[in-house]
Amino acid sequence: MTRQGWWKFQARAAPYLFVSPFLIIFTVFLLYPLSRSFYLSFHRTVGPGHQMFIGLGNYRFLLRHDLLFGLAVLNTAIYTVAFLLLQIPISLGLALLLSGRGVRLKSVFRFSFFSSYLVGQVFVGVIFFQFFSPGGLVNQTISALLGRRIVIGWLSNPAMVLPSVLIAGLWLATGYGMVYFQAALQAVDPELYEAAHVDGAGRCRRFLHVTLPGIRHVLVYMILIGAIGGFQLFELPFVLLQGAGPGGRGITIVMYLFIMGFNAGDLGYASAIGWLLVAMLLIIFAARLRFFRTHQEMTA
Amino acid sequence: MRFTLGRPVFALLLVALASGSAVLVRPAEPRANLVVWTFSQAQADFFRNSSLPRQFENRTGFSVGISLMGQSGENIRLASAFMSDGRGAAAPDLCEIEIDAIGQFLRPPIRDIGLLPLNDFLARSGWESRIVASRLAPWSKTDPATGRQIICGIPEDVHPVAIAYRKDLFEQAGIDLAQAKSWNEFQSLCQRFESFWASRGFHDRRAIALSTSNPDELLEMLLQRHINLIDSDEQLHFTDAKVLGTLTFYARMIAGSGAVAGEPSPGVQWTEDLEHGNICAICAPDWKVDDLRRFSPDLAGKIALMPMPRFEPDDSATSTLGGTMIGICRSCPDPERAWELLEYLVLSPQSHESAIAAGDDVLPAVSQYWSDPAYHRPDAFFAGGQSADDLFVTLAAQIPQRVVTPFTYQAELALGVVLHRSVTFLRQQGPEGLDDACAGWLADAQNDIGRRIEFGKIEP
Amino acid sequence: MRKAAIHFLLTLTAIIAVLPFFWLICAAFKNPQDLAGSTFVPWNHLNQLTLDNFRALADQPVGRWLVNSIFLASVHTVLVVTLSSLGGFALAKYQFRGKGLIAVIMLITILMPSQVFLPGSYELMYHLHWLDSYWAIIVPGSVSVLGIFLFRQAMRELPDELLQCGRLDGCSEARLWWEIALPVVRPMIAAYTLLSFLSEWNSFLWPQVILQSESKFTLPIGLNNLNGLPQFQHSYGIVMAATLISILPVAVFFFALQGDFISGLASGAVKG
Repeated sequence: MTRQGWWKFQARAAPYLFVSPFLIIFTVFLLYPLSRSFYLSFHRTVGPGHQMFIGLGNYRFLLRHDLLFGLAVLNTAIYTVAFLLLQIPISLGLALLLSGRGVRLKSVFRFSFFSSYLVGQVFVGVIFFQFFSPGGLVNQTISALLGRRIVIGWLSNPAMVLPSVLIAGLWLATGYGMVYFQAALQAVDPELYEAAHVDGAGRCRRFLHVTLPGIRHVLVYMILIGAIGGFQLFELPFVLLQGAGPGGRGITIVMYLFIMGFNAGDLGYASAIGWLLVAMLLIIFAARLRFFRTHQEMTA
Repeated sequence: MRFTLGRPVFALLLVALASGSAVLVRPAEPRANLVVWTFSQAQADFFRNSSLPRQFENRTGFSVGISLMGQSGENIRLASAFMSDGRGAAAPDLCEIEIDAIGQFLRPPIRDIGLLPLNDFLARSGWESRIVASRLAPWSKTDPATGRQIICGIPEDVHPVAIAYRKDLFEQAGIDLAQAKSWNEFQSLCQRFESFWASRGFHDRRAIALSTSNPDELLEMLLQRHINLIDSDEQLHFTDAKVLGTLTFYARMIAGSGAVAGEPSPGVQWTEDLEHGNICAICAPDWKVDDLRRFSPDLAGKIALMPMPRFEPDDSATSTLGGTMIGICRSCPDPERAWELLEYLVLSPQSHESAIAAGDDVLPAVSQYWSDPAYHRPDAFFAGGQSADDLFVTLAAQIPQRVVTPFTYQAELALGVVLHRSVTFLRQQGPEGLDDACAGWLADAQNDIGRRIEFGKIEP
Repeated sequence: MRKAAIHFLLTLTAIIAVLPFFWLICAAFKNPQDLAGSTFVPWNHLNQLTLDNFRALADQPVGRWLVNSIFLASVHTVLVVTLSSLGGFALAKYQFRGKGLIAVIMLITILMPSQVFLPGSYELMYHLHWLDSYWAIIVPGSVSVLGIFLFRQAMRELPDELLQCGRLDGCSEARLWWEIALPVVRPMIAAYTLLSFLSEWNSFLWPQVILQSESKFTLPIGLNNLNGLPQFQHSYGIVMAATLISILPVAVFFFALQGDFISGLASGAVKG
């Protein structure tokens, strides 16, 4: 082949070559198990090579009859909404504070906030298990602040289960959000602030009309991964509550999936739960995208 | 040289190479002839530290490898190994499984269960008559065609339950708790106990630990009345009158005017409850008593053990909680040898001696060993030098039969939800209408679990 | 005045954020009696601070777990950054068929919880004879949908003229990637390096399922085994010491790379 011919060839083949290692590994190691789970979700599995085709049976039972699944969806949804409502403002607020001029020791603050993310869900569960025990750090702090001996059953009282998991989850993830928001705030063009200031806009107006739109992309990204993370939550409550928790109030969708798949042994049922979760998230995403697009069109 | 991917990646590349050489230079572990999987560090340590594997190898020439893994990891791996038609290296030769996890492995039709039926081995070796029969039940499945019990695992323990209590505190209140033979008597003694200490300023001192957040103690009470939520014929018993009675009694022990119970601290922190006198009695199987001895040496001389009180005369004075089995995987290429190893590690006199030597106080499932004097020595840890194991041996003779099915975990979960609802009802609305409300919830739970069992049925 | 208030709020929040770590460090050095006796520093018994917890860990092969984790995490990161930047470059700068479909499928793999992949993956590893082998962790781990998305976003910013110039100069596409695209997104690389190292370092479920030989265990697996034991739940000082050891390398890594990480986020991940 001539040199020019080779150059033309590789110019055209390059994109395919570049994605091919990714695509091949992706297809073999991700797509195959994924499609296998799709196939399994229409079966009932009871043993080696023993699968019974039941069509939509799993899905029907899940949606119509399975009370535990309903409980799991409720717990997960409440957790995710509460998590987002708290994490986004707190991490954004922290990032705003940290971005102010004249703030010293920025990198120290940043490191201390982000360090909680380094630990991973399992260890957060282990550490907070000790914190939330009747004689643990949290009760001790509250007792010290109020002057009386207060014992709250963080992990044994079903009403307190959600706050416990929420606190642990927020501790883990807020630093992560803060770092992202801080980077985003840095990227907002300072001239826009100048212009707004010149126009006489107060701090509140500046925030609403310059800052928020400027960090729009990161905001959406944070909400999306927060929603995904919230819906997929499993290890943290599982380790913290050592299972489903009192009265089943700690069950999440993925925890229920795990119990049904690896404790009761019905992998088909577990796969169906997984695909329902994906469907739920897709619906939420579609709704969000529609919401943001119309919002964009309105404000454009 | 400017590394385009950046300094961090370059640094990582170096680190990868360095650690990679450390990893590769490691000598490959020789695969043992017989591989045992266990999830319990205590068991793994026991097997490895004892001379049992070495003795076995000397006798038979087959080397033994003990593999330790986290419990959920072992369950997943076993399930997957059995699922992928594990003929080959995926499944081990012997595996230990915990009683809460056995349900899924016994779900397939008998010929598809990944564990080898051990009936022949048991009959031939004569162990069948020497192992406590009711402990074989959780690890067995009834063959619908012949009605035979197909045994898939050998129990390693009995785990009888006694009540461990702060004898010193009860004596100060002038109460001999061991006098209580029925639960009603027990409750009134506990009420006297609490009012005694309340009058001395200990308002938070609870007489007994009964959990609301998990139904373990409630299940222990049901079991002593010979009730399994799902029995071996897959019949549901949520709506039994005895279940309703036990549930309402349990709820009334926790809340309302006659309450004498408190929530135990999670994990192993319940030992601290006893140490501080926050909770003064607990339902303790032998392994919990072991924990008490290990973690609360300060309690020496203050703890006594008594059999469980009964509801009715034909109840058992004990219950059982927890359990481990050891079994042979169907894919094992040399089952005879695997059985020999199993016998050696778990059933043999050598194994029993090693356990005693290691200070292991858990009663084995082989009743002939219960007469070992080591189990009947006076123990300075308990009040009056009471021998805990002596009591446990007596109780072990009356162990009720626990049945585990693939749906037992979900049934117990459902019971936990009902339990919590009952306690909340009692706290917020009082005893009026409690029985009816509970009956309704139990009926709902029975319907739900019944539906699940129907849905999960496979053709025989 | 406002600055003082800001600093106060920041300090307060930072203290709350760091408090668990402080507790962790204290617990790692306390003996079992002091664990219950004092919340943080046992002021009365300062001379009883002990290294016993760490010594007890020496009985466990923690050093080996550490090396294993370091190896797996660094190999994973190098591979995934390389493949993702290649793939992201292709997706950003070239037109080819099937892009939309690929994007949707990749989205689904992110939404699906990882436990669902387990049965199929395990079966696959069994047929490939990769059970109990690091290949089973490294190869599937080298693809990250998130990575490809992030790099695609970052490389979109790349001006096409720059690439055209390169082509006119006779550069091959591969050189374009290596010499033009990568330097521009270097900050993004730093950010993603940290994130993917972190995720592999803490990865637990799949390694626990796949690895059978104890000498191959990683830190999370080893520590989870420890935590399951009653004696460690009670004298959790040892578990805390082990947790400390497992956090240290990542913490050092992050502290050293903080600046790069932030500018990486600012430039790449943040702009749409």
